Amino acid sequence: MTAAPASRVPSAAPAAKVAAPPRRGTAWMRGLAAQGPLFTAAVATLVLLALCAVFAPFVAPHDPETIDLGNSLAGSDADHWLGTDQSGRDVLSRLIHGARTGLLGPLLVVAVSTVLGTALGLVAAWRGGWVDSLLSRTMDALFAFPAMLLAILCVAVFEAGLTAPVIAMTVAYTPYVGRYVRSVAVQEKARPYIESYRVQGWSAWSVTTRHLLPNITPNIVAQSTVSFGYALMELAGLSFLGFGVQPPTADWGTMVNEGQGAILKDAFMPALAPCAAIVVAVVAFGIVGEGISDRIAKRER
Amino acid sequence: MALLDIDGLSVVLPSGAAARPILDGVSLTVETGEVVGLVGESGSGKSVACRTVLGLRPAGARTSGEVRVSGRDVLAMNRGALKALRSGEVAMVFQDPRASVNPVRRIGDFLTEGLRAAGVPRDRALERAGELLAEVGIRDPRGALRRYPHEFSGGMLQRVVIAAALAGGPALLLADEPTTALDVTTQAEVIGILRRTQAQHGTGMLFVTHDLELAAAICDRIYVMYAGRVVETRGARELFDAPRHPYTAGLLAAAPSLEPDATPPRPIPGRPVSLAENPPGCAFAVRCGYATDRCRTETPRLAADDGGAVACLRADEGILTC
Repeated sequence: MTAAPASRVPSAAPAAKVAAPPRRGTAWMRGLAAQGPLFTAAVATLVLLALCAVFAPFVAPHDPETIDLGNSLAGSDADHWLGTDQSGRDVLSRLIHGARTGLLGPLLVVAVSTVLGTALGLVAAWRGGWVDSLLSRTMDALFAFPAMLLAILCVAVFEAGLTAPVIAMTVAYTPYVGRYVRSVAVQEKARPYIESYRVQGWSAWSVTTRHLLPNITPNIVAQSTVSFGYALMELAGLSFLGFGVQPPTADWGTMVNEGQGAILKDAFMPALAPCAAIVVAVVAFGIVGEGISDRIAKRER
Repeated sequence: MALLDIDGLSVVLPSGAAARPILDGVSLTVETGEVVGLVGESGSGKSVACRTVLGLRPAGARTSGEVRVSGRDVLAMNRGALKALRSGEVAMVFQDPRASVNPVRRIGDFLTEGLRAAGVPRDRALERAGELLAEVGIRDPRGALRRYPHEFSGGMLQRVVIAAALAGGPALLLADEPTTALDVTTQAEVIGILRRTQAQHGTGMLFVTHDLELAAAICDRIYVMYAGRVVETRGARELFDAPRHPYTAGLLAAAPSLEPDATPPRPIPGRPVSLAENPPGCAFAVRCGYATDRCRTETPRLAADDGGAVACLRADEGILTC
């Protein structure tokens, strides 16, 4: 699942002239757009999900928590496109609202673990020596804890909800990011241009923040995108087990849990719809992450 | 007071239990406005010597001796002083320009970064960068500022790197094989630019190369290094015409010549040894056609002779007649 660290050795032959003027940013975007229809579709899916999450109250046709026991486990019709669950709540509306906790959780996990992991990885790569050994071994030790176990521990200490699993997942993901950033930064640091800035009198801090970090940022973004999908899946899993988001709040994980009983009554939609949403989101994040990695690999050549 | 004065510099690299020496008692001087060549084969320690001038030492290396720039010892400098030294007084031009420039930043950013950090406003810094580019012979300097490193050829990019090195107005320029990565026609241009800007600014230059003929063509004085020691030094012309050390003579004989009556190039037999595996006596003895038993037991010291210095036990015997 690690994005393949593309060879960072500068090619001996001078880089071929790129046809498009390489304005940073825009050229990148155009390059990404050229990744193919699958990539575009994945980006569109993610944008759609994000919009659903942000504008859920306006997009959802019904209130996600209004119970209508008289209309329990209704099939799909014009009013309830995906039918209703056991309590008669509209599945589509719950799905749309579920995107909020579904995306917010991984967003927090990835944002915080990326910042912490990047900082740790850069310090380890730059200082080397005993600092590197200490940080790397500490990260290895943390790495040995399964995220799920950590999360369950965290829930026991705090209480079930979004906070405890997010804290646990952040702790579990930070060493992961840290190890990756360290390995990329070590390679980048070995490139002669870093030394040439050093001998111009630039401090370690300015070389790192102005040159090293910006140049490895695409790698970190690619890595984070893939991690986002995994975090989403694991948080949904925790919710499914009852450690995460608590009912009646709409969340994909809890929806699968609540809907599984209905399968016995031949109503698949309440459990299947959130499952499908999780799969689509995770796959879309995976495709986007891979696409960015490919783009980096192409730029390297 | 010399601009650069390396005095008895020794560098020892610890590798496991056995310490490995890289440099042994290297001394050299560069005066203001002087171009000094440092010539040697791969592994002779010339680049290590050059880098210590900026306070760059191999990781974990132990050094002794002094490296004084304008009288101040670089090896004893604290971080602040080193930073001031690197950003102002001493600048370095590396071997491969393509590797020594951040590939994703514009040339303008690369050239103005140091000026901006020194508090020069953006417009003024860009203007200055344009002047520097014009000085190293880049056409359309304004346009070049907006371009990226990969849009330049190797030679052009090396000019940009030289311009960047000159930006801080250095008193001493270190050129570590600045033309090795370039093709021959570009080499001549880059050498010309280095030489011209150096003369205009009165900058002292330490020119590190493995090419003795190139060094002889552009340097005022030359130091020849072998296995971590200086084996001969004298004025470029005299060294080229009448080398006193068998190694220098061997280097000159190994270069092909276009003269119609020239002898074919003669390679130096054997392979270069490092200071680490150095047997007692003269390090060159195993490859030297003039070596005697005394050469294999007694280490020659660098001794002054007419106009230079040579570290050869048989230098006075007039063994070299070329």
